[in-house]
Parts: sequence; structure tokens; C-alpha cells
Amino acid sequence: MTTVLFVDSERKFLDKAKKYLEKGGINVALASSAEEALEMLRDNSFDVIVSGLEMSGMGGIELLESLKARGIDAPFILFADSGREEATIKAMRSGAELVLQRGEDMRAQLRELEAVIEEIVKRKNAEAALRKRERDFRAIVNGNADAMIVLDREGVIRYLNPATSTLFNLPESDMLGKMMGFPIVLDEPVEMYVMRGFREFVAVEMRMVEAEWAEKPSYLISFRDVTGHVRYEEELENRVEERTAELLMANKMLQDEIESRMAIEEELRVEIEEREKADAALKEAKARADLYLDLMGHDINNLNQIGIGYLELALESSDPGEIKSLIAKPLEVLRSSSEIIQNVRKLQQLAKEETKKDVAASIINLCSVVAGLSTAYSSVKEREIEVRVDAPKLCLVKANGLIRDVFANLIDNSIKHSDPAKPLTIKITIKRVTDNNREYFLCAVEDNGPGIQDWVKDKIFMRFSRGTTKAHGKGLGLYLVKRLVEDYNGKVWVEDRVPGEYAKGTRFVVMLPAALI
Amino acid sequence: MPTATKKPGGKRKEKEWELRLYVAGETAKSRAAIENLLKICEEHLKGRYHIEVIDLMKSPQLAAGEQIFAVPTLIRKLPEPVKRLIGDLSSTEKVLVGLDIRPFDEGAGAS
Repeated sequence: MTTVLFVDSERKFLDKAKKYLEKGGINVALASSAEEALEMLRDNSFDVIVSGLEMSGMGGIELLESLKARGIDAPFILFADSGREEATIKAMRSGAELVLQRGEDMRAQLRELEAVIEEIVKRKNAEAALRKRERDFRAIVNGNADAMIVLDREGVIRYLNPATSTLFNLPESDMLGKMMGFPIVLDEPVEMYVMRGFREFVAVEMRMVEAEWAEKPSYLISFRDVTGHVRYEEELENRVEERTAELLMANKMLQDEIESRMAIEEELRVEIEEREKADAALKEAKARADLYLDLMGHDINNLNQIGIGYLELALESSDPGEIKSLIAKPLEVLRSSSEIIQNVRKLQQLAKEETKKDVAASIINLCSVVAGLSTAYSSVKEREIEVRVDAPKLCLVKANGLIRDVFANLIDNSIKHSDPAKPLTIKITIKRVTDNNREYFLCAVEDNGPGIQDWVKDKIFMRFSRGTTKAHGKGLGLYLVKRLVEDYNGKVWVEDRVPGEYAKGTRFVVMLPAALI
Repeated sequence: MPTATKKPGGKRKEKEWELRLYVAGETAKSRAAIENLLKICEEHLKGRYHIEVIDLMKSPQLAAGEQIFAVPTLIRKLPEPVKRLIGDLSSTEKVLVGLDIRPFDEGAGAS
């Protein structure tokens, strides 16, 4: 409740005023002199003091001055008679809140007084609240662990709490009045730095509220030291980086591992390929060995049986003439046996040379080879054989020494399958031909023997395929011919000497690549 | 022989703007502040501004002389009066207000 001290020496006026104001809810104390008022104010305080100007004893202005001297600054309202402008001015100068004119209409004056008192009280309350708020504000700000700064509209530091001095490592006096800057905050908090002692960076979060400070619109900003937080983030970032590096390293190692494995696999693949090749070669070698065994076993055994038969007959015979003829056969058989053995050796040699890949490495003059054979076969005993050669003097082919056996076998073949009772003519012709832009020598060996039926022609080069003539054969000579010729990158085939009439004789054709000089 | 001279004062004299931006390191935030400032200047102060960017991580000794309390700080050295901004300099609108650049301000109002 508002309390008013009313001072006047006119008792009637006091009583009326008291009665009127108390109806409006104002608590009124009365003093009939300034001295009495001062006495009352010693122990009591009032919201407003109302006093007359002229009283018995001390006057109103003196009372006001006296109150000011004592530190009592409650609002002071002076009632003055009209026409006392001088006193009014003096009262105002001395700090009176208001000077009211005392006139005829007392009620009107009291109504005005009441309104003024209410106004003053309202204002006083507002001021007190503001003071309290500022006190509270300072208490909060001062005690805050965050640095809190009040900036004016220009960004000049107007106030700072103790935490600010600590954060900035600067005394308050070095900061007050300095321009920090107009704070811009879009989303709270703003992550930024403050400069500790203008040297060290401190990561902070800035927050801001608009506030009134010393009755001016201002900004209250706070800085929270988040160094620890930032450090944690930095550490996290470092750890992520480390981990990334580790992963990259691991990835690289894995990549290397994959590459080395792939290299090993490739090596393994090559090795397997080589092994497969070696296996194939081994199989081939085994097949060849089987072939040799077959030849040796089968053919020689057959021949031996024939030989044995004749020799047994010879043992039982007592006729020297018959014996002689009986042992001639085993002799022939033995020759055939050794021929087989010779041919097997040649095949073996061929196989060895093949592995060395130099089968067709030398250059041979085919003509001299054939000429030599012609001489040798023309003197075969008990047979009338003529070997004629029609060839240029120089026919160089890519082959090796075994080329002689190709033609020897072909000539042998003609002799074996011919009728021993008839004369045999073997004609060898050599011509240079071009096939597919390549130079070849075409060598034809033809005879006037019994010939080869068409259905047999493609089989005679196979192992153990024999002609239909009764003549003995080993089924190996032509096989050897085919293998040799193919090894020389050539071709061999058989045809009728007179096309369409097989019985008029056979023609073997050997085509060998010419050696380029 | 008559000569045609163009009076330099034909156009109203425009304010020259001198800005100085203090940043801490070449971070994404620093870049955002610089880019935003350049954008604002190109838009509103084209041809009459000068920006100096100072990285306090590289030259921390410059903080004390200019009394830089916080980073980033943007200082308007010219035109006077000197103004300073701190905080989120990537906010175009508030930087405009802080620097007292009125949008589409031709700068001719001040004398």
C-alpha cells in the first residue's frame, strides 16, 4: 500500500486530505509541522511526501532541503498558494517533484493530488523493478561461467563479466570501451574463435540476445569455450584420417596380394601348360614306343615264324639242292627283320630330331640323292629293274639326311609289290612347281607294277595297312615316308600312273618345299 | 582546336569502400565468409571496393595492433565511421545491415 506523509500546519486541510486520500486506498500519516515530519521520518519511510509551503516554524522548501541533506529522496510535492512563482521555481530547483497551486476548490486539488501520487507511485514501482532487474541481470551475468559481454549498437564493449577477462586473458580496463564488433548471429550458436591475449585462438560458441543496458538498446553476447569439444572433434577427425589411411594401406596390401596371387596363378597356368605339353609329348613318345614295340613284336615275330618253318624243313631234308633253296627263304626273312629294326631306329631318330625342332634345318640336293638310289637299285640281284631319273641337276629342298629313306622306301615298295618274274621300270621325275606362291619340288615315282586299287589308296600310309598283293610287307615303310615328308612340311600321295587305270601301275608323288637360296 | 574533356565530377562522387576481413585459417567457414563478402560487394559496391583478407593463423601478430577480439571480424575502414562485425559473416542480409550498405544503395547519399 502507498504511504504518504502529509505535512501542514492547517489541521483542517490535513484532515480533509487524509479522509479523501484514504478513500482511494492511500495510507496517510499527518504531521502538523516540518519539525514533526522530520521526527517521523527518522524511523519511517514514505512513498511520497506532501507539504505546504508556508507553515509555522520551518517552511516547505526548508523541509525539502533538509530531507535531501539527510538522503531522503522520496518524491516531494509542494502545495503553494497561487502567485508564489518565485517559491515554485526555488522548490523545483531544490528537487521537488511537483508544485501544486492551492486554490478555492479543495476537492479538485485533492483529486489532482491523488492522481499525481498514483502516477508517482507507478513510476517508482517501475523504477524499482528495473533496478531489481538490473541487479538480477548483473548477478546472473557476473556469476556466469561463460564470457558475457554487453555491446552497444556500434559493437563497443559496455560491460563484461569476470569470465570474459579470464577467457580473453585481458583486464577489464583493456576491454571496456573497445569496439568488438556488431554481432551477427543467424543460427545459434555461431562457431568462431576469440583471441586470447590477442595471440591464442580459442574455439567458442557465440550466442546473442538483444537487451536494454543503461536504458539503451544493446546486445548481450556470450562466448562459450568449446576447446574441449573442438579438440574432441579434431581427435575424431584425426582418428578417421588414421583409420582411412589404415584402410587404404590394407586395401593396397590386399591389392598387392591379389596381384601376386594372379602372378602366381599365371606362373602356375604356364607351368600347367608346359606340363600338359610335356604330358602330350610323353604320350606321343609312349605311342611311338608302343608303335615300335608293335612293329618289333608283331612283324619280326611273324617273319621269324616263317624263317623257323623253312629252317625246320631244311633240317628234315637230305637233298642238298632242296636244303639250299629252303635256307634261302630264312635269309631273306632275316634281312627283312633287320630292315624293320633299321626303320625303327630311323623313326626313333626322327622323334629325337623332332624334339629339337630342326628336322628341316639343312638344305639337301634332292637330285643327287635320287641319282645315288638309281645306281644302287639298278644292280639288285635276280631282278631286272631299271630306275630312270629325269631331274634338273640342282633341286635344293629343306630336309635332312633321312630324305634318302623316303625314296628308298618308295622304290622298295614298288619292287616288293611287283611280279618278280617280270622286268620292272621305275621312273623318277622331279619338277619345280609353284603352289600358293610357294616354291616346291614335285617328285613322282612311278612303276609299271600291279597298281593299287582306289579303295586302298588312302590306307596305304597307315600303320600295318598292306597292299592286296601277296608280297610280304612290313606296313612300315610308307608310314615312315609320310611322317618324314610331313616333317619336311611337304605332302605325299598316291595315284594311278595312267589315270583311271590302276592296273597299269602306281605313281607316288612327293611334294617338298624348295629351299630358297 | 577544340578539345573534348570529360569532367570527372560529371558523375556524383561515390564512396570508396575499404574492407578488411580477419579469418582463422583456410577453412570452409572462412571461404564462405569471403565468398559472401565478395558477392555482396560485387552486387552493391561494384568497382569501388577493396577487400583485404588477413589470415590470423598465418599472421597472428596482426591481432593485437588492430585489437581483434574475435574471428571472424570484418572491419569497414572506409567510409567512416569505422564499423566492425563479428560472427556469422555468411549471412548476407545481416552483413548488409552491419556494414550499413542499403540494398541498391549507389553510395551517393553521404557527403
